[in-house]
Amino acid sequence: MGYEIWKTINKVNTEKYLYHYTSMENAYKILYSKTLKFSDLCSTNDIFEQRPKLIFEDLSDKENINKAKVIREYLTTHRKKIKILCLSTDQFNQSDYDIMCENLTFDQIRANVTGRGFALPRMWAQYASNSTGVCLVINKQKLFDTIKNQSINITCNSVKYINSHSTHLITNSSLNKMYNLIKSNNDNTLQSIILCNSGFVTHNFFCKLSDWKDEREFRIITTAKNRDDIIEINDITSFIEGIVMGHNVDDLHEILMKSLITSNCDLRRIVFEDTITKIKKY
Amino acid sequence: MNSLINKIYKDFYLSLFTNDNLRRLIFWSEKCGLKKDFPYKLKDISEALNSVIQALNLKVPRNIPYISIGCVGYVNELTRIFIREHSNFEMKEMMLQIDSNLTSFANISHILDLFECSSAREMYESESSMNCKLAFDYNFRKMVIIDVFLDVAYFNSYSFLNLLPPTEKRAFSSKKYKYFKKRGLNSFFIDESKNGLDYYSFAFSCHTTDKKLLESATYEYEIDIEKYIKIWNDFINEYYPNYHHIEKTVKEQLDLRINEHLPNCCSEYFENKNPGVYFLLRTEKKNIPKIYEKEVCSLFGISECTVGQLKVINLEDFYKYEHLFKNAHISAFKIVIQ
Repeated sequence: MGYEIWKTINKVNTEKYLYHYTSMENAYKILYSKTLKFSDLCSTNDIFEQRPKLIFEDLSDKENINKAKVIREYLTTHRKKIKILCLSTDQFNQSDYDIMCENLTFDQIRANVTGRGFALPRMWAQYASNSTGVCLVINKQKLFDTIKNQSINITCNSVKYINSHSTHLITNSSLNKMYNLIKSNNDNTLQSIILCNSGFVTHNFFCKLSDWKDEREFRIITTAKNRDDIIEINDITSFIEGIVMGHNVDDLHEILMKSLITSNCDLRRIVFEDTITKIKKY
Repeated sequence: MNSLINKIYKDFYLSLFTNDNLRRLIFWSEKCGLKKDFPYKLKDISEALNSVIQALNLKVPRNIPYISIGCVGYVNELTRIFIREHSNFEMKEMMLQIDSNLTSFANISHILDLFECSSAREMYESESSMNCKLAFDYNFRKMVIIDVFLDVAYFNSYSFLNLLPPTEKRAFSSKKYKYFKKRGLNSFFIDESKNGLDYYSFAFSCHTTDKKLLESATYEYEIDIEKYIKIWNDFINEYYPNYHHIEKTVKEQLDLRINEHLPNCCSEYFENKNPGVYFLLRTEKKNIPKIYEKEVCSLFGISECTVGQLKVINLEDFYKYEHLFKNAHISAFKIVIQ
């Protein structure tokens, strides 16, 4: 809320906020409906996430091979039930910051929000319609509280960026455990497999190639009962504390946006100047 | 009926009827980065400032002048603030312009560099000859401007401060800063200066410390009036113990009332009055809400409401009749008798 969320990268609590970039059209939908929807895992733009990454430790016998096939089939078929919320984060590195501040005047350093999670040029370009969209500033703890209040089961973590796709070996015991869960065929099977802290989950859902590292992604994953189910987080006013309008947003959107937000949500605009990035008030 | 005028009247029953106004200016240009509508936003800031001054005038046994804030693209003797958002080399050029003007105008007691910058709440040395730089988030623009000019108004309410030579007026701001540090007053601004500053407004120390209020996206200006008066009293007692404020004569004060054909014998109303604060009341309209007619007639000793009736009350009775000032078109003009 208010001025604190706009602190420079060296002053902000980097664990406090998460950021969701989106188009203006989607922003209006979110604010009007007061809900934030999870997306399908299958709709992410990382080609490596379109199918499960499975390597098994021991496929020396037919029984294990069959089990592996069942697992692969199950995860491929039910993949559409996996829902995801992708957010960006703040990250501070002192030496990067020192380099950034070299040659800047005192005032420029003070005003410069480069490095903040709402000031990622690539995210603005790719996910906010080339800076004609918005970035929602979300209070992380309040988001989790809201999710908990709605009894949405999740797993979440920061995405780890790796230089090449190493493989995660699924051991025999994990293979058997997954197989048995699938065969039990109860409503919670997918949830039990996905929403846990296993190496399989980390490798499949929380690792991406370093090509994507500038997104600084934090992911929240949940599962739906049916593939077409929509999972929404309600009461967004409790956790959206700021909205950043893109550099190329027409001023006309200001009035409409202001009519949709509550008094505890601060509306500002990002401006990419020649040497620094600023946040300006409307 | 223009409801806007009635609204203004309701809230400004003292300040609307006095010419005891000081003009002070903000140096601003579109090159500084603020939006084009900045001059229009000053109206709201002026009203809030004069509302605080009005509240102070109801507490303090001196006449505190009201402030009229203007916005110009040059520096002159009335300029006290340079406000900007940009931090580029063009600002450097403007600061050089201010520096060269400061030597030309001896009567500029202080001039401040107000730098609007998201999430800021700090005060620093200025890179130019200005007294100090205040960096503040946009949410606090109104607060900072009001605080700067509030101290201007309060300074000018002391006769002996007004008579100080220009060099001492310039040193006055430094004294306030030293006092602030010596007393360890809390402040809205974080002092990030390396070698101390040449300016401080006591109003900075009179705002809420409630983080939730300050962090609100729609922070509304608030000030602790009692604390403000106390800080000033303590400061004056410490730094100017042998100086005494001398109030204007009743006639001189009445001359500052807006011209509404007051009778020449008006000052006679105050003869033989004990030292204290009084208010000259006047009926400003014939047709007032019926609900107040009886009370107004009783107060002024008249049988029917007419314009121009006068009555003097003392400060203790002011709040008894405040509803009449707000709703029944009765003006109040402060007179201080020493």
